[in-house]
Amino acid sequence: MYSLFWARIALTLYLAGLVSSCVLLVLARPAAAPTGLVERLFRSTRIFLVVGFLFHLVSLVEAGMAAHTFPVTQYSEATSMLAFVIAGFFLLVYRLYSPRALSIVIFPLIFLLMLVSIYGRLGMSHVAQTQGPALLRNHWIYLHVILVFLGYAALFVAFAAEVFYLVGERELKGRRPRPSVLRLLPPLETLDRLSYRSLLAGFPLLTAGLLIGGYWATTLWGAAGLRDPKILIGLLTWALYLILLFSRWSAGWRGRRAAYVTILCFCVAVVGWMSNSFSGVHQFWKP
Amino acid sequence: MNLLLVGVNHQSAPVEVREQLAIPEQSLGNAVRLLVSEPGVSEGMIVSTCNRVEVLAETAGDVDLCGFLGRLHGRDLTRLRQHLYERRERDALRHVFRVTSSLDSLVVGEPQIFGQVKHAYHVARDAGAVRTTLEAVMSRAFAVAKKVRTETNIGRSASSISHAAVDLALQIFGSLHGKCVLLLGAGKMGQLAARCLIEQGAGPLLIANRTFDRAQAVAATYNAEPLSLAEIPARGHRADIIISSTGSSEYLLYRSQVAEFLARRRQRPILLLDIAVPRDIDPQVQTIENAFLYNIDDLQAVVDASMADRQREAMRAEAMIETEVESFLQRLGTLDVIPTLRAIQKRADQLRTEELARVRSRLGPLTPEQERAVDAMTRSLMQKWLHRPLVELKQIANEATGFAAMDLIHRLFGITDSAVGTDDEDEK
Repeated sequence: MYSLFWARIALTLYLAGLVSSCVLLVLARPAAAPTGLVERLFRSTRIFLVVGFLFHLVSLVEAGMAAHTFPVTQYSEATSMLAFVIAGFFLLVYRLYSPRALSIVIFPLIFLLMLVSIYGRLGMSHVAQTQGPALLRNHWIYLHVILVFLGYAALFVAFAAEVFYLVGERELKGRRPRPSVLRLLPPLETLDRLSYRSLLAGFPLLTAGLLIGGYWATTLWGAAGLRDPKILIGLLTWALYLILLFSRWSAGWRGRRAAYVTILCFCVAVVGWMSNSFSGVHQFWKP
Repeated sequence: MNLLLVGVNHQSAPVEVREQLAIPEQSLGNAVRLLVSEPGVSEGMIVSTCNRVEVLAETAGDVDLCGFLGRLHGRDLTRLRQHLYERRERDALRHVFRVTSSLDSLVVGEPQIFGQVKHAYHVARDAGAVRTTLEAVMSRAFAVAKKVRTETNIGRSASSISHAAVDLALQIFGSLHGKCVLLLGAGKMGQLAARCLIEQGAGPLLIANRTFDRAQAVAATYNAEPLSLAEIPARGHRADIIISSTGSSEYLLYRSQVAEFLARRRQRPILLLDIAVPRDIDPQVQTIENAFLYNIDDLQAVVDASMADRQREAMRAEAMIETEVESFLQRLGTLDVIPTLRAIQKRADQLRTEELARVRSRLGPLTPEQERAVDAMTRSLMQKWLHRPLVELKQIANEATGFAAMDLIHRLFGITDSAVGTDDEDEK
């Protein structure tokens, strides 16, 4: 038996982060935003993320212990896990690159995922919350899910970096850059490098995740198991990912072109994430 | 507090005047010692930079600091008096805060002045010329300057074309370390911009000129690599930043060439700064992805935008300083009044105990209860009687005329300066 108490606290903290990010955006518009306040807001968004992440971890552990399994078998649990993985990946990126402006896009996403997750679990009975089918109690599937989620998270960070890249590039190309906008944006090369490295890190994870999933599916359903919409979209994401990395590496693609493909790749991944409802093998367990 | 400030700055006096009043670095300590030996000056310090010479003193009574400056330089300053400004009390305090926060600078927000004032303060302190009042004023001034710097964007934005070039390069490349700069033409503006970039860590530097000899000569002063214009197509792709300032009437770089550079450098971005009139770089270059072209007007627009930014920030800083001046004066006022308050209370209590001791012998034996009642009665009488004067005293300290009123109060209650002083020492 478990409550959604910890998950709700995490949600509240993510909401606080979202609100302070919005305030940052509004403040950054007029150049008159007091620097001290902007600094404090950036610091507080980071604190909200870290503390929210910790409570999120507590809620996942609680859910896992209640279900005696890794909490990814239901849609709402998986959503919560995805938000957790993205928040964790972003914290790591933050430590390495401190691209603080990116927190402005991270909060809407993790907040939304967390909200969906909690909303999905609201009506459930405790029995439903704590039982899952034996099929999904398998270490391989846990690994598969986590690796694919990490791939998604890397893709999301790359996506966020590229969105900022496009904004910055437009501003600088326009030859009349506004000081207030530039103050918020990291340098173009930093964003480009962040996107590339994030993709580089995410690609092997996604590949491994897909391989494990594919192997597991073929042993269960044979080759037919692979002709599933979700798996096909997953492969498409993977192929785009590969093309993107390859063209960056070999043809020196960067800048706007790389940004567009990254954004496309991310959109395909989002479709993939939502395609469970018409997927045979990726159906969540619905109590 | 009785602050007096006399000085000249870039607004009040031309350089011919400022240079006559400037005090060389090595004699600053002596000048400060002379200043505090002036009659009526208890503390003092002197700031002397290329843009200002200012004498700040804590004084008692009338002091002629202009005369002091004249004596210091051994000349008659009557002709220069029109350039000198004089600020007292609140105005002097505000001026010190503004100068330290770089609001009074030629380029508002420039960072050097803070260090210069700090240096002047250290010199004065080493000479024993800074004690209680100036210590409080200056430490507050430094704190205010830091606050202004962190809470406004006053020092952040570009103030010149070169500065704008550095800002743009930073916004594109993040760090300038190892970024190759190509200077086309050895004009003054181009050199200035290149130097600013090098100072920020950029390098190597390539210099190309129509006459190779001139390129070589300029390259030698910067430890750079000279190129002839003919070598540009073959080697230009190395450059991350191209600054162009030649006198050529035709374009030196065309769209196709820059596109080729980009292809050869695997699309790593190029920042092109065309500060020549007529322009050296084909404006079509702007249409190429990853090429960022700024001509002289664009750069000026960047400077203007950031100066407007600075102006707005400066207004915010002025408001901050106004509040700081107010709160400093108030705090100073309340601080000053405390020794006086204590001295008055001490004096009254002394009288009370003396009187009580005198009367006690005549009263004969009292029960402990009566004893306490008498003690409480006298104490309460004293406190009630003093209550209103003490409240008023605190109030007066916050008013501008507080200093004069304080003297009167000391006389009324028969408090000598030493009584206030000893009380102060007791505290420590």
